Amino acid sequence: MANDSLTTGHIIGDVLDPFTSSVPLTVMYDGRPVFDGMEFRASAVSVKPRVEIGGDDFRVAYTLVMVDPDAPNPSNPTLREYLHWMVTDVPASTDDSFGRELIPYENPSPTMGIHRIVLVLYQQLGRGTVFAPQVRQNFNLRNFARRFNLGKPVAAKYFNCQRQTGTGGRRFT
Amino acid sequence: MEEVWKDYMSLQPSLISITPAAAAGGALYNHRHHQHLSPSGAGASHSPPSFSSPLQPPTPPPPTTLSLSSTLEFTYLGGAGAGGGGGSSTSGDDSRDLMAFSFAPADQYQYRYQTIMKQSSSSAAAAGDSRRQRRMIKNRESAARSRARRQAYTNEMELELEQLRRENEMLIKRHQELSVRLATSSSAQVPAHYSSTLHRCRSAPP
Repeated sequence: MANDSLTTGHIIGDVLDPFTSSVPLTVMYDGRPVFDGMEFRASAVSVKPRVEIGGDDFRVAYTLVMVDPDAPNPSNPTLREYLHWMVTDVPASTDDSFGRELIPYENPSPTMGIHRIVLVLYQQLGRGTVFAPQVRQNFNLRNFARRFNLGKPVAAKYFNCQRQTGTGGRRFT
Repeated sequence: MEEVWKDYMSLQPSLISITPAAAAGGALYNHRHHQHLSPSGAGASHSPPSFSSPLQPPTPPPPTTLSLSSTLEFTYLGGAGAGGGGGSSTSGDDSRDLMAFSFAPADQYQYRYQTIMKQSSSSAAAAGDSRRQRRMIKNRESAARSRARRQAYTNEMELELEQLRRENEMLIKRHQELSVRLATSSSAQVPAHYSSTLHRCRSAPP
C-alpha cells in the first residue's frame, strides 16, 4: 500500500507505472529510515544512504536506481530524469554495499524548487545483465527497465529534497 | 457575471474612468471624455481598438474605456489605476458607449477583466499579459504540487501509524502470553527454595 503515497506524489505516472511492492526496501540516511514524502535538505542527503533489501535468496540480484524527475526545476523539468545513483547485482537480503556501483552517488543538490528523489528497486534476470548509460541527465526509467529486462519495479521509495537555504515550501497548516 | 456587466453598463456616465497616473487623474478623465466625444481614433492607443473585437463574443459585451498602455496594472488606489504611462487616449469606439469602472466594486473583477484584456493584440501589452498568465499557471501548478506533497506525506504517516499500532498490540499480547507462561512453568518445575541455594556438583575444580 505504499503505492498510495507514490500515486499521490505523482511518482506513479511521471516516473513509474503502477506496480505492487514485493520486496522490502529500507533506505536510511544517517541511520534514520526514509518514509515516502519525507522532507530533506541537501545537507542531510549529502552522503549515500544505506539501502537494505529484503528477500531470502542470495542468488537473486537486484538493481537499485536513484533518479530526480524534477531536475533542474519542478516547473520546468528539462533534465528529467537525472540519474543520481545506480547499483547493480545487489543480492537479496543484503544492502547496497554488496553490489556494484555503476553510477557513483551524486548527492542531490537542487537549486530551484522542491524536487522528488525516487529510489527504485528492480529484480534482475541474472547477474551482470545491467549496464549504465553514458550520461546522467534525461534518463528514462521505463526504457531502461525494458532494455535490460528488469520488468516492473519490486519496490520504490521517494522523498522530497530542497536546497539548504530553501524556504521550506508551503506550510502544511 | 452577466448581471454585473449589465449593472456596469447602466452606471456608465457616472463612473470614474481608469487613469494611468493618480496625479493626472482629473485632467485625464476630462481629456478622455472629451476625446471620446470627438471621436478621433488617433493617438498612441493600441489596446482599445483591438480590445473591442474580443469583447464582441461575450454577451453582453461590456463597453469600456481604458487608458491602456503596455503594462496593464489595475491596482486599487481608491479610484485611480496606476498603469504604466503612455497612451492615454482612447480611440474612437463609436459603437461603444463610454463606460468606466469604478474601482470600489471592480477590484474583485480585476482578474476577470485582466483575462479579457489579455486578448488584446498589442504586442507589448500582450507580452506582459501572457507573462502574467504564464506566471499564474506556474503558480497554480506549484500549488498543486505542494498539495500533492502534503497529501502524500500525511498518507504515509497514517499508514505507518496504523502499522505501528498493530505491531505494538501484537507485541504486548505476546509479551503477556510469554510472561504468563514463564510464571506458570517456573512454579511447576522448580521448588521455591531450590533457586536460592547454591548447588555443589562434581564438575567443581579439584
